[in-house]
Amino acid sequence: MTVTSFATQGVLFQSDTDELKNVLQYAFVGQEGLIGDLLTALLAGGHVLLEGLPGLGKTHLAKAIAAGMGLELSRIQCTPDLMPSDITGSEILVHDEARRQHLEFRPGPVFAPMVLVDEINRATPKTQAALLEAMQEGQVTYAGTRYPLPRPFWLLATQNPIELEGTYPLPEAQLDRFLFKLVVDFPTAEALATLVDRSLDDEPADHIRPLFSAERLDEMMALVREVVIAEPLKRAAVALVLATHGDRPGGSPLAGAHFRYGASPRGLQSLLRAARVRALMAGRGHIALEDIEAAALPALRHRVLLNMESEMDGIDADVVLGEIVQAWRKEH
Amino acid sequence: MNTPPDSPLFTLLHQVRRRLWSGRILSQLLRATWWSAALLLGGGLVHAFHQPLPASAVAALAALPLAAAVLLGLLRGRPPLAHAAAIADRWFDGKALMSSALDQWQAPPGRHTRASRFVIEAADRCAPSWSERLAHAHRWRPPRHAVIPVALGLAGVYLLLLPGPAPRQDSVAIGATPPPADASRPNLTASDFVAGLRQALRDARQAPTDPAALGGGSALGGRQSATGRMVTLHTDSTQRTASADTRPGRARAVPQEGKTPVTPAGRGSTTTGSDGPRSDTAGSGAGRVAGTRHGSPAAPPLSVQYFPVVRATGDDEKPAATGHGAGRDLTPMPAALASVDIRQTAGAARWDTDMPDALTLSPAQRHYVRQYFSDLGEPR
Repeated sequence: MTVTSFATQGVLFQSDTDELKNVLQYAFVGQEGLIGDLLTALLAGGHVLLEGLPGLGKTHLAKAIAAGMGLELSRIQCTPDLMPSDITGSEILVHDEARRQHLEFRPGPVFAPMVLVDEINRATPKTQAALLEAMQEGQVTYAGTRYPLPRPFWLLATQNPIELEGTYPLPEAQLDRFLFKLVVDFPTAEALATLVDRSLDDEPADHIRPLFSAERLDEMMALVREVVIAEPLKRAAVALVLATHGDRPGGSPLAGAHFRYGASPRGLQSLLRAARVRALMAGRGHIALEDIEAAALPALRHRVLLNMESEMDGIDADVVLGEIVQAWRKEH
Repeated sequence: MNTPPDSPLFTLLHQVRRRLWSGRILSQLLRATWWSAALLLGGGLVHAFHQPLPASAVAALAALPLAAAVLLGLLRGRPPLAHAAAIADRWFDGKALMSSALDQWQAPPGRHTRASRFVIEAADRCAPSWSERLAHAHRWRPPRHAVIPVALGLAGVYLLLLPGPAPRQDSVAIGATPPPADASRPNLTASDFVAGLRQALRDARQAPTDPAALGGGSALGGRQSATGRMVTLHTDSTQRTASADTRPGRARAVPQEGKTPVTPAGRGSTTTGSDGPRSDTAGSGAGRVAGTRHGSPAAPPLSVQYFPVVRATGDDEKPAATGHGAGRDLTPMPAALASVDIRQTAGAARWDTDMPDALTLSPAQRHYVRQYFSDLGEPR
């Protein structure tokens, strides 16, 4: 390909994502920022954890995205009695044409390009762990046999932040698998009024037509991987991740005061992958500090762990992280 | 990379780098300006109120911090291109375009992708307009905070250009403009004159005792030593006179045969405090000197305290010694001095005596000489 083709593809990328954003914003009113972040994570090939109160439309948003991207959506409603095999699939006894019996693997709902895991924190840790391999490796191992998941594969999980009874908070290892953790805010009054007009008697997501083909999605994701990350920007991203470690050189004093653990190296990867998508969305072939800054909070907020004192004081990790990002931005 | 170093990208980066370099030197100069201003102002204050200082030396000293700042800036060299690229991105909100383009240009050829070429071409497209904006928008303007040190420095220069401190009452430089004759200001200076007097006395002592050589005109004949060095003279009222005129009834302040008595200073001062009553003159002391300093042969700063001369007169309005100036009997002189003719040591020069060519009096000195003889009532 030539330089011109890269520029052309970049323009197409911009137009496609803008079109998808417009469609989603029509179906999911008043959450422009959330939609942009969600698309960023998906085009970066990452999984997303949506956190918000019940009734804010998280499931609706997932359905709208899947419809807009032309993807099959599979939904898993987590409950405490949900078993891993209910997600991954299991072997069942079948009869072949010769009427011989044998075990055949029946794929579970995780075998879909886009999986919505609703209220993931209601599932037991054992079931939650069943998602780990799928999220990280893109495969499922059952009875010693590996079953690859479709490509691309996205997992959108939702959880309720205030309901604690009968829930199992996600372990850090699993949280780390999510590229972004997005918080669904309560919509404004104007957005609520518009929402009533559009979805009182109808489901806008049901009317969304696919904008892309699977091949087009692959092209877009491949284009994202070409975006240039200059050495100074890499170092800046590293500095930001290190700033979340108060006990390390380059660590922020705020992190030392409030964080028990800082962001992982996977957090750095997530940060830069998301920054590349944002750069392409802005029509650039290289990432900028602004891209890293915009991706910092959703990429790192679930990778830092507050210490006991800060948790007891009711300190929000987002606030601390935001201050760390601001301090980092002043230095770069 | 296929982009040559003289591409618009590098033109811009070099332009930014030059601007950064000059800016850095300028800021260092600005810091040095404070030091220079402090030196100029300090030197000016010293010059104006304490002691005259050579303006050129102070100026040279004040220029040192500036020269050091420039030298330091030159030695540190220009900032690297990566820094220039980052600054250019910051100045023009380039979203790391120049940094990324430079990074990709410097990358090994194997790592070049179409995206990196795209970035470099985008930078090359943007660079000309950025260069133009840089040439127009970032023109150097004198920083406001330079006003204070510059003003302080100018004030220091002004002080340095002033004539210097007012002459202290106990010192005056040779050649200074004489102050107006005022009896209320007795402490004036005429160092050369006094030094000349002292030298004359010294010469008189060292001369062979020859009555034929005595005379009014011989006293000032040797006011300057053979080496031309001015000598110190301390002849205040405490000095001891070795003259026979100090005896009671023979007031030595009264000119004998038209001669004004002059007392050797050095000898008088050596006996101060141990000789009992001081042999003051009837005229309250004339031509007294205090605080003179040894100076260089060229222009020694000497000082003279001047006391008005009052002729002592008796009831018959004739010159006579007073009880105050009666003095006492002659103190035994050392053997070395005993051979010196007393008339020679006491002899004073007459103004009308021909001055030797070696002695050139300044206006101030001439003024004091005039005042001296005027107070004595002697005609010039």
